[in-house]
Amino acid sequence: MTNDLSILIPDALVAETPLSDEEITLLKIKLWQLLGQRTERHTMSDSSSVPIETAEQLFNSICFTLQICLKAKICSLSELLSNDNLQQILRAGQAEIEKKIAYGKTLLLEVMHTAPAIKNISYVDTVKGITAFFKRYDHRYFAHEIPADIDYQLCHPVTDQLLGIEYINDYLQRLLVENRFIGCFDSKKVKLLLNCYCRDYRGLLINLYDPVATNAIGLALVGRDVFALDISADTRCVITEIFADLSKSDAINRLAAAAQEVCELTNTANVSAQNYLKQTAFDLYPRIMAALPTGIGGIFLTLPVEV
Amino acid sequence: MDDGFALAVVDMQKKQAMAELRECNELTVCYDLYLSEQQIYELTERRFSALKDTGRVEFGQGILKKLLTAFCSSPYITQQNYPDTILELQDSFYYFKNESMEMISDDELIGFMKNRFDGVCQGSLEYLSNTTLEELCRNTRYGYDVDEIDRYGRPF
Repeated sequence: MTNDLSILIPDALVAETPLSDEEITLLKIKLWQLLGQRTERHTMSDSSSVPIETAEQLFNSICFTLQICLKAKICSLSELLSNDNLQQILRAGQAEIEKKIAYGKTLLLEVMHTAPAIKNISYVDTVKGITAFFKRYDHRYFAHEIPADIDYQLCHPVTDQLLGIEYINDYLQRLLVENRFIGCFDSKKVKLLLNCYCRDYRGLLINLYDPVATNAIGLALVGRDVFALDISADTRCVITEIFADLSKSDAINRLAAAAQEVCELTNTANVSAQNYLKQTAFDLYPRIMAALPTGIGGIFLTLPVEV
Repeated sequence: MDDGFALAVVDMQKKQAMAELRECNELTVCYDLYLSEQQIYELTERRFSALKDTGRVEFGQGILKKLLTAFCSSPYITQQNYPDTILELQDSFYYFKNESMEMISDDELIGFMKNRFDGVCQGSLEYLSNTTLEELCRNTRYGYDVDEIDRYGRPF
């Protein structure tokens, strides 16, 4: 088991309410008792002992659920210490997780409805994997686990610190942002662009959003039609000239303004979706600067001429 | 959990286990079986080393009381071999608990052990561990039925 309680109590909360050694010991005793009760329930009183790995998983699940309570302000750290019945708080945490599961299911449905008409294998498999997650997820005993195969690479990945349903919901929210953005563009052009980005865009583990967003931002930078998704050699020259003369802060501001313009043109009112695109724009800066001496043809792509 | 806390918990569990074993003496004394304080201490220490060796964590009462209660009526256990037999049985229990991949409950495993120990094994701990328990766990893992009769068609 872990050497401290960081798995249960987030660092920020510890800084807010520092615990004395006695309080930490008290909390550990309560957690140990709770772990015993949960283990007994898990084995349905069939077994007085469990493998260490199972005990660890049950302990991590308890900590995850109690952390959900702390985050949702269902109880405070002092209540956790003073309450003799942690089972009650655990049940409240499980109810909160059930709400998150219900929210996650609605997110999954939205993701399915807004999925781009591009058959990328990892995308399809991931959506199937997340669908299976809602069948396999055991929020009572293994709430921190993510029983799903998630292969599809997001443009901005979910932090590793999120676990269980929190990870899945964050992943789905990001995927939904990407879906809605791609949905604003002509799917034929998106496919042509992806084909330029990666010949085997259906089979390889690539992100579908990144090349579309990059070209849209590039076009917004030079005031051209973002929906064309086509950045010609001339346009690339203009972008190169722009970045050659700008300081870092000015370049970042320019990219942020371009991202904002794309958001307005695509009617993206959602703040998290706007921030997602802005983050994509900021991530372009080091790539552009690194590519400036040799050319930015690998970042801003040209669509093939249709026959 | 940190080592200091874990040791405190283990210490608490040991004291509880020793108290339970003292209570068991009241039950086993009618079979002329009795554990001295030293033997109770050894059994308890062995319980925790067996748990450590098999990578298991135990909560609550533990298994010793159940083992003593089940085996005290065995015709193959006398005061002379009583502590050593229980020590061996305890080790076997945790080992085969792992081997069965948690698919056999404590009571089922103890029941099976007692049945075979008094039956086909005729009090041989070696026979119990190396043949019948191995077979039970193998059959459990593969989902086969466990034979309740020997090769001559007689129940164990």
